[in-house]
Formats: sequence, C-alpha cells, structure tokens
Amino acid sequence: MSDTTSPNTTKAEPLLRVRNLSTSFKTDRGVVTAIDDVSFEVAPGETLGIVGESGCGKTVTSKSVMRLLPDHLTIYGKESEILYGGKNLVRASAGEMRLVRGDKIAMIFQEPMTALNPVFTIGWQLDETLKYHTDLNKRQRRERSIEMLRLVEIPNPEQRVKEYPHQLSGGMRQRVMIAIALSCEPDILIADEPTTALDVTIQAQILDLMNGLKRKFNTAIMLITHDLGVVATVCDRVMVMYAGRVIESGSVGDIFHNPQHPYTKALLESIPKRGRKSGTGRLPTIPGIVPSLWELPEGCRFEDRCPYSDGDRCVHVEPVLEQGPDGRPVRCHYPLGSSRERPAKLTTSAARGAQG
Amino acid sequence: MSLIEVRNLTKQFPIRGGVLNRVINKVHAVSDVSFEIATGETLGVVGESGCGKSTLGKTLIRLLEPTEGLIAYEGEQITGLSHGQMMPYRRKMQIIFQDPYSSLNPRMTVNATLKEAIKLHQVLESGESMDDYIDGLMKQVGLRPDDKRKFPHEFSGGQRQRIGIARALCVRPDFIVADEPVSALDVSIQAQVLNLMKDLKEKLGLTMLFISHDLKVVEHFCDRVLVMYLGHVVEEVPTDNLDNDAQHPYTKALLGANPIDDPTDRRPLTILEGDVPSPINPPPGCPFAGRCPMVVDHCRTAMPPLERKKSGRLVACYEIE
Repeated sequence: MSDTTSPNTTKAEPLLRVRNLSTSFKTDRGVVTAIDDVSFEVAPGETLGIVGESGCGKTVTSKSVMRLLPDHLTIYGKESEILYGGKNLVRASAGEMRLVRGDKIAMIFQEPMTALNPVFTIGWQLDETLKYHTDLNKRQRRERSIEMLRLVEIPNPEQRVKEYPHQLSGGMRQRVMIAIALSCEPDILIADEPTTALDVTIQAQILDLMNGLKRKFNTAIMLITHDLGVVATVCDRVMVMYAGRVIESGSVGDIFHNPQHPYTKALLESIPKRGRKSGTGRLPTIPGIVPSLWELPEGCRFEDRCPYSDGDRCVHVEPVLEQGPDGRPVRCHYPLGSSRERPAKLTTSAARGAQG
Repeated sequence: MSLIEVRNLTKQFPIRGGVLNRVINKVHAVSDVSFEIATGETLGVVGESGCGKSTLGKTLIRLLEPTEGLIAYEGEQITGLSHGQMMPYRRKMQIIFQDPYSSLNPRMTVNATLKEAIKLHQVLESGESMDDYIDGLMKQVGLRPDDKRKFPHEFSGGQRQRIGIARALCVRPDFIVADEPVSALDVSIQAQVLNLMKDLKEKLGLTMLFISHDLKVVEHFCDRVLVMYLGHVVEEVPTDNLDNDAQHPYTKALLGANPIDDPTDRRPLTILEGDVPSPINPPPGCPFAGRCPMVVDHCRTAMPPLERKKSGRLVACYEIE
C-alpha cells in the first residue's frame, strides 16, 4: 500500500509509522474487522487529524497505537506494524508497552471525568505517572506536578493538587488530563475528541493550549475528531476514514479546498457554514447511512451513498488507496478532479436518498 | 402577530438540605427572560451548557412550572391553567428532545407510541383511519410505513430522531420546541434531519423554538436568536448577518471562539479567560462581568437590562449605546 504522507509537507523524520494496521474483535457474533489496512505517519511538531463519523474506526486506530484494546479479544492483522523507536508495538509485550505508554506516547480522552479517578486527588494522579516513569523523589514530583498544572494555566496550582476531580470544571479537568499526559514530555500525544464534551469558549482555550504546548515541546499530535472546524483550526495533515478504511489523506489545505474523494467533499458540504446563510435553506446531504461492519459491501464501502457510483465497478471492486490526480492518496475508482472518465450521475442515487 | 409571548420568566430550582430538609439555596436557571415568537418564525436559543436554554424550553411549554413570569399562547395566558385546562395547549405545543432514545419508551413499538398520543388528544377526524394516519406520518418523516412495527432500538440515531419528530407531529401541533435536536447526530445525518425539519416547518406552517449550542446550526436554521448566559438573555439578534450584527461582548466571544471551517483562514480563536460563574450564587451584577473584556465598575453591581440600543436591537450591556 502506498504511503499516506505527502512528501512535501513532512520535513522531519516520522516518529511513528503505522503500516497496514488491521484490528479485528472477537465477539459473540464472530470476528468483526473494525479497521482495515490503515497506514500513516506522524512527525515531531506535527498535528495529524483523523476524521470521520461514528463507527469509522478513528478511536480504534488510536487505541490500537496505544495498545489499549483488550488483548484477549483483539486480533491484529499479520502484516500490521506500529513502528515506534525501532520497535513494532503490535508485537510488544505488556511490560514493554507500559514503558511506552504515558512516557513516550500519551493519550487524552473525550470525557476527562471518566478518565480521572474520582477518589484520588489531582496531585496523586499526576504523581502516579511521574513515580512510574521518572527517578524523581517525592518532593521533586510534587514540584513537577505543580509546575505542570501551571503550564496548562490552571490558577492556584498549589491548592489544586490537593483537590479532587469533582471540584474542577470540565475545562479544568481536561487541562489536568493534558498536564498528566505531558508530565513525562512524551514524543506523541494522542487526543481522542479532546474538546467534544466541552463548550465552545472552553474548547477555544484547550485548542490554544494544545497548540502552544506542541510548539514548546515539539510534540507530535494525533487528533481524533469528528469536528471539521477543529481540524481546520489546528491540524497540519488530515486522514479521512470511512467504515474502517482510510479513504483520503493530505495536507489540511488540500483536504478542505481540493477533496478528491466524493465522501470528503460531501462531508465538507453538509456542515452549515458560518457567516454564509444559504438562500434556499437546505443543506447538501449524504443520503443513507454508514454500512454495518458486519455487512460490508463487496465493492466500495461508500458506493450506496455516492452520487458518482458507476453501478458496476464501484459495486463489485473495492478501490485501493492510491495516488490520486494531485498526487495524494485516495481510495476511489473515479477521484474528483481526475481525467479518468467519470460516469454520469446515476438517477437511482437520488431516489434512494429518502431513507436515512 | 406573535404566537408566543413571554414576560419576565424566571425558573429557580430549590436545593434542599440540613436536618429539616429545608430549602437552603436555589439554582437560578432562568432569570427574568422576556421575548415573543411570531407565527411561522423560528427563534433560536444559543448558549453554553448550564446557561438555562433547555430549562427555558421546558418551562415555556410548562413541562416545568415557572417560578415567576407570564407565558401567553395566542394571547391566552397559560401560566396558572389547571391540568385539564392545559390539555388543548399540550397538543398545540410539542417538544423534540436531543436524545430520542431516552425519550421514547423502549418497550413500545413506534406504532404504539404514536397511537397513544393520537388517542389521548383525539387528533383524528371522524372517518380518518388510524393506520393510514400513522403510515402518512412515517412517510412524512422519511421512514417506511412498515417501520412502525419496530422498537426504538432497531433504528439508527438519525432514524430515531425522525421518530422523535413524528412523535411531536402526530398530534398536529402549531408550535414545537426543538431541544438540541441534531447535537447527538453525525454531520451527514445532521444535515438530513435539519433539512427534514425545515421542509416540515414550511409545509405545516410550524412555529419553532430551536435550542442549540452550535452557532453554525442556529445561524442556518433560525430567523432570530436569543443568546443566553447564566440564565439571562444577553442579546437578541437576527441571523442574517450575525458576525456584523452581534454587539454583546459575550456573543462576539462566542462567535470568535467557533473554529472556522477553512484552514486558510486561521485567525486566532477568541480566548475568554475563566469559567461561567455558578448559578447557585450568581454574582450580583452582569453574570459575564468576570470574563468580559469591556467590563466597567457598575457592571459588577447591577445587571444591565435587556434594552433597545441605537442599532434597534435588544442588548443587555451598559457599554453599548
């Protein structure tokens, strides 16, 4: 499979290389593949956005990298590689992963209240990470904890370390999560919908903070989100996922201004635009719903919702992720802007739009 | 002609405690809110969590009893009406919730849910068949008539919200409170449901109060918007040219904090310092004073009234003329 990184946008050597990552789960109904053949790279100081709708596999991707999925129920593909520091994390032992997790690769979650332990103080939770990963003594760890809280702009950190998560607001809790994640100065920060549960003014604070810390520590950030506004504001590169597949990737500018996959284009169009009230009052929509991972189609997974389907090759042959017309990877038989002749819009695709 | 008129609506929730379980404090959820909604209009309510927008919606249709204030529907006061007197208004005023899954009975088929409301309010005219009516409703919200035999868990999120809409429409209402109707949906599904609501609104001539935390959605869907902060309406502004017309510093901050869907337009987001104050002991003056870039001394002592400014619009701020 081709490299999803466009060479001109990545300057530094990638820190993390994910190759052909497939993750399946054993369930009562049999084995289901949540993500299929996902490849990407992240370089220092870069923010990679992973976008898509619920169930597209963006969270499974991030949890696979962290190896946070239950080992006894998870099957990684034979070819799957998560290369970090010369090691393939897919085959790493639990002990090896513990050394990486929190120290080299850290993660923050959507809902900080469930990620923080309610019965321990903020200080205790910061201390736990430092105790495991550093040689600092108790007093030094306390100082470091306070310093981290100050860094994430929590007022009065000397007092806050003694408080419990429920005493903090949602935005403050997410700051604590970021402080814990960054306390060992990780190379990579995985942020899984870090601002989705927050109000927009608090979201602005957190995005600003993450951007500032990225510049300061040159951290690589993998930002998982469904919010395209957040992507446009903070990401350098974007990978779009649909039903467990990467369907397109590229620089944030290319993705927003020159999408090659019909799904990316439709997704961008379906969001109401700020400051531009549409005359007709109707939004362009994507008809239908995402296919179930249990009943994936033989051909392109977006085919039944795609206005450009040819009704033949698209139905029977799944496209591979390959260089599109402007040199970026795209998974489509007829990428937008290509010279390959695209079939006329099928009349049936409009007709099946009513269900949803 | 205004369909709904609200005067000085206030809703407080008591907090009980102590040995005698007396009221020891109050949550000031909605404070002194007044507005009108014209027939056929869609009024948006926008604000962050805890600003009282959902409480306002629920109090407006008397799912919650107002602590103070008046609500008039078609000129008739509905505050203080008895349960029986309220019945005709219950039919006329319906609500769509954010999460239809928790507002639909999981043990009832869609058919049974709809039938119950239709029977209770005696919606059908003589000779009209219940089955045909429900089939028609299902089609109207973009579902197959056969789907009515299914239970709520058998539907996807978007379909479930369509059922929530059918539930509200089945009693032929005139006015609908839509409380974050698309917030739980993916963007592609969100667009489908917004379009459906827009079509139905036009076709059936509905009037709406549309509550959302998402400015993009409110701007797209509504004619006018009330901006709420800690229980107060701080500004009322038309949505045609929101960026230009917004005057209140909070509205401006809210607009500026919204990420722009364009990576080439990377102006820094407006950063407001601090958090929203607690609604249990709200500060005496303007609730936004603690975070406001334009704050002056008397902002901290008395709440500025929502009054008509030079621009002709209603803004609650001392610093705007």
